[in-house]
Amino acid sequence: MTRALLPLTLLGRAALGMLRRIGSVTLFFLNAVIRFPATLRYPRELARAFLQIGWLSLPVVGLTAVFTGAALALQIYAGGSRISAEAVVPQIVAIGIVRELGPVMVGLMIAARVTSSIAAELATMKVSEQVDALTTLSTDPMTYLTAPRVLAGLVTVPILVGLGDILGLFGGFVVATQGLGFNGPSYVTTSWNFLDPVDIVLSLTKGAVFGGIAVTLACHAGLNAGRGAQGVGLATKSAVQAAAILVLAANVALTGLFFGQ
Amino acid sequence: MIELQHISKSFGTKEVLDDISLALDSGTSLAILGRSGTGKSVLTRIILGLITPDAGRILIDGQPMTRRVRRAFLEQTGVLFQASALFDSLTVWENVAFRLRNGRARVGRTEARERAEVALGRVGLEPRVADLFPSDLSGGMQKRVGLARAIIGTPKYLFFDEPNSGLDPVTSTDIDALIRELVTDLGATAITITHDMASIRTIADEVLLLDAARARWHGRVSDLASADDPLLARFLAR
Ligand SMILES: Nc1ncnc2c1ncn2[C@@H]1O[C@H](COP(=O)(O)OP(=O)(O)O)[C@@H](O)[C@H]1O
Ligand SMILES: [Mg+2]
Repeated sequence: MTRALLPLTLLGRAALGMLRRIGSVTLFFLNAVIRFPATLRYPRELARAFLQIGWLSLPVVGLTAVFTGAALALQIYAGGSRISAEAVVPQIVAIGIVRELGPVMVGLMIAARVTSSIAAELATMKVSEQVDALTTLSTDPMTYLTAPRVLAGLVTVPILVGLGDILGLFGGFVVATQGLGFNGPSYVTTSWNFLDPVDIVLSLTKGAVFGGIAVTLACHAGLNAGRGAQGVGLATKSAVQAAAILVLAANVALTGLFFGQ
Repeated sequence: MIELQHISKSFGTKEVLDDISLALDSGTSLAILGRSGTGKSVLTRIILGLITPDAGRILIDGQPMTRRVRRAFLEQTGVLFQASALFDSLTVWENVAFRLRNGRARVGRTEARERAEVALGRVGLEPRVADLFPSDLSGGMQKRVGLARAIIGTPKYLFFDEPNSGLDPVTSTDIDALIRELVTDLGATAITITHDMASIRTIADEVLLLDAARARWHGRVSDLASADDPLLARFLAR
């Protein structure tokens, strides 16, 4: 009897564990947010966070966006031609990139690049007692380490998404005009007229949410890392995994919120 | 005065500290002795509030360690961690001056740097290391930078976790003399974890021997010779 119920027990335990983690991460996020004013005392840490999360992510985000936009244009053209609807390429690429692929690709790239590096950095600080050293030097690790990074994530990732959108549209534009015979100026006007302001609001909102998720999970995992090199590896892996999954889940939720019936 | 009352701590099923009580008068230097893994570091981390004990309490000058008391306590406390725990992203002088730059006082850059170089000088490091990063230094030099960071700002309480490990005998002797001097000059209360009997004779007034989660022997350095504890005798024999 008990043996038959074992899978259920395990499932229940996993669900409870997940809920507990979501609760603790949410609390952690709020704890970072209330420290935003205090973190202005550390301009250098803030600058470092903005550089690490925003500026240094530009190349990877830009390249991902261009390739995604280009591939999307090719696909829409190929798919559209089956029902003689090749002409919709500018419109579909526009909403496809701005509403979905731009934010999602950027979100996933941030989860890979930023979440891993922040989680590993903070976990290393934790296991080498640097976080404890901060505390004994009368400096709150949440204010000094977490708050600048979370703030930078919330501010820079929407900007990255905006740039990613533009570059994604550009990738589609290049393929459509150079390879698929579209007229340049009319491609641009069609795309632009098709986009609704709400599409852009959704896109940037997704950026802020994904940035918040990716950075908060990274800091949480890093500061709660177990002992030794193993602790660093485990913290990094679990943060990246959770960030990627949560970015995709939040993406569905946000799309549903904006466009669901 | 630092008082520990009935402190116990386990990690999982492993009991690390069992009912440790201790009173340390201001201006006293205590050495904690014990085999590796007997909870010496854990005990100091509990006093610093970095680990919460399962039972027992800590008093500073008779006051229970509330958040406010702890904040005031840490502002007057310098700590050298076992693995130095220098900040990788900051230069040597920024590490040493961290408390001055980021603490309540907010000392200016030029003054902070000067004071950091003075502190580096006290631990036998030349000003030219000031602009290096911790990763550029040997383990022994990192230890001394950690020590400089601990003593800057004339703290009232000092914690040194194995200050001599990884140091050559000459530097080690100098560091011992420095610790003694700080305790005597500043009237600081110091807790030092060490295995080195020569160090203990230089720096300590009292000795606490931890073993099997208990405080096995606690007394004055002058009473060490007359103590008849077999484990203590083995430490003394080295
Ligand atoms: N955060 C922790 N989690 C689990 N076990 C710990 C933790 N910190 C210390 N320990 C264990 O407690 C014991 C005492 O550690 P420690 O105080 O570092 O020893 P030492 O006397 O050598 O300084 C060791 O067995 C160590 O593995
Ligand atoms: Mg230790």
